Amino acid sequence: MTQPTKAPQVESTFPCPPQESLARILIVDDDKVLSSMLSEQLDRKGYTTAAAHTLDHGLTLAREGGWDVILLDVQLPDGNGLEDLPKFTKTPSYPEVIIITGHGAADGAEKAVLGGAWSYIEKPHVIRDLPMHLTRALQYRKEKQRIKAVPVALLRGSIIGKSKAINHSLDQLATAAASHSNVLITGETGTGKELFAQALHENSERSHKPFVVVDCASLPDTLIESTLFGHVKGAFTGADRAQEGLIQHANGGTLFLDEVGELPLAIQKNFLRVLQERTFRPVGGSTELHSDFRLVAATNRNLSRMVQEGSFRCDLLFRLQSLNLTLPPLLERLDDIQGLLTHFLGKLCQRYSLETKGIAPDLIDALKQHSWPGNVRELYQVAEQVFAQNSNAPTLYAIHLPQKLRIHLARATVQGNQQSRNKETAALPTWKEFKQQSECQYVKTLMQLCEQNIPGACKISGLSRARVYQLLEKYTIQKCPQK
Amino acid sequence: MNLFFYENTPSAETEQFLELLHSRRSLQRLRLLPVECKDMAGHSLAARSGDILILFAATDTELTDLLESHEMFSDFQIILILKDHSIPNIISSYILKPRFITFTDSDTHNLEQVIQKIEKNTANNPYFLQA
Repeated sequence: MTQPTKAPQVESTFPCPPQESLARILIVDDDKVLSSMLSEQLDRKGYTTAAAHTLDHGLTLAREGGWDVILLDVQLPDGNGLEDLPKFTKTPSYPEVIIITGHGAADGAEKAVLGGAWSYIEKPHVIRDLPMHLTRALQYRKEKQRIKAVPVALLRGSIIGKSKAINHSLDQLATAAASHSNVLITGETGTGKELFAQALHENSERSHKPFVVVDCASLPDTLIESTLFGHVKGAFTGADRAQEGLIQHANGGTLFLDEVGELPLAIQKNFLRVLQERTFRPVGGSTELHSDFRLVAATNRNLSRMVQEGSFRCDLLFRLQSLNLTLPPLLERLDDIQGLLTHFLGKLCQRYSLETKGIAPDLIDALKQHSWPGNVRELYQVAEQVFAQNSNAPTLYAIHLPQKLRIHLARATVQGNQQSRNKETAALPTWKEFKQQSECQYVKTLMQLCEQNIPGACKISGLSRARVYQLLEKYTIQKCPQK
Repeated sequence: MNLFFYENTPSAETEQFLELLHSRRSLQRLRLLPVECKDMAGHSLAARSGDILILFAATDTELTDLLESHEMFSDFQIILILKDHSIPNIISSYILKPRFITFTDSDTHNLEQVIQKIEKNTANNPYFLQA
């Protein structure tokens, strides 16, 4: 049982709850002084609180539901709070539980974490530490509830495939779409980074606002600043009228920085400020403008290495990758080739008003042999070539593949077979080695069977006594002295 | 990679603008796609994903037509040329995912620079299959 705490009167530092939903907090502690002090301070801040002084009463209140956070003591008159922690976390509102105890012990802390507690605070520090724990728990809970509200049916756009690798990326996409954080999409060239960025936008709360693409690789250095930030009239030669920038146009929507690794260092510095404050100044302008956009960036470059080399700002990278989505190369999702090819050919047939084409299994087999360094984009280009050169063929076979690719595949197959033959050759011993290995194994088995009995061995093997001794000596096989 | 120009409605203004583009050395190979050829028939088998397609809209109606056909252009790297500077028009055109938006009264040198940079990037991409 806990001794009543003589808590000092302190200036309340508890966070104000979000206005839209006042959090409900249940205090389960037999220390009535502390309970009443916490209740008073939390009530004053606008939270709804209730207190229970026994485990049983606490569980009854918890089961009535509606609690966001439960502050749970460990030593209670009718039991141990840690033992019953799972019962609290599984009550109808699935509250976050903060363990408060006068008996700090590493084992208890570990048990609290394992039992699903949000955090663990020792009573002497409760006034100091609880506000921070409470703020974080409520933020986490708010985010968690928002993510739960994400529709199960994700709008995939043109993302095709059902392999394990692509499903994992789609799961990440769903999580990212439900959040407000900046997202960095990485992956090799042609893996579909822009498709994922667009799908992320379409599945987010900003889907009714613009999805603005900034192709950092296509814009010359001289244009990128005014394109991003806009400019005022007379800002530079040729600026005969003011023009809004893409950052302004993305207000309320998503700004997609494609090939972000190509952003010049000078622009990186200005853009970092935009990310921190969501304000910017058009080129030549003196007024700060505000834009509420969500940033999604993509690159096929190793930004961490670029940071080490000094060509990318570390602080910008830190800001960009609040959430990271890595797309798999096509080589890791070869099972999706058939679905992708069917989709591409269907699209092309529809575009040119042709009947749907059949795909022969040998075409799929051949495509699966390729390493696809250019990924899905390369596959699409191959599909386009096959389609363009065989637009009248009702069914497409491996023979319809571009000659360059067929030669490449044939070479790879021959090389593969050669390597496999070399491997087999390397694994096969010479006749002499093989004969010795077999002979040795035979003698060992023979001696085990006849329990080291030489006459018995001679009888089973049909060998002479002298030959048996010779073999035992040759392979240094120990024999027991004869009885 | 190919470089195409497309507009919905032929007009003297378009012709004049195209002439201006053709006067730039690096844009001389720009090919005009026939009007209303949304399936790019005639050039269909030459057009490849990743090609540059310059879309031209001199009026609100032309822009609306282009926006309605946006899926048709999804495989290309779009450059949009507008006559009207109105912000709602510009914002609505993001559905085309343009790499660059410019205006009929802007310096064509900027357009030229963007096209050159896109071509350079494509040439550096070893996996882009040349048609």
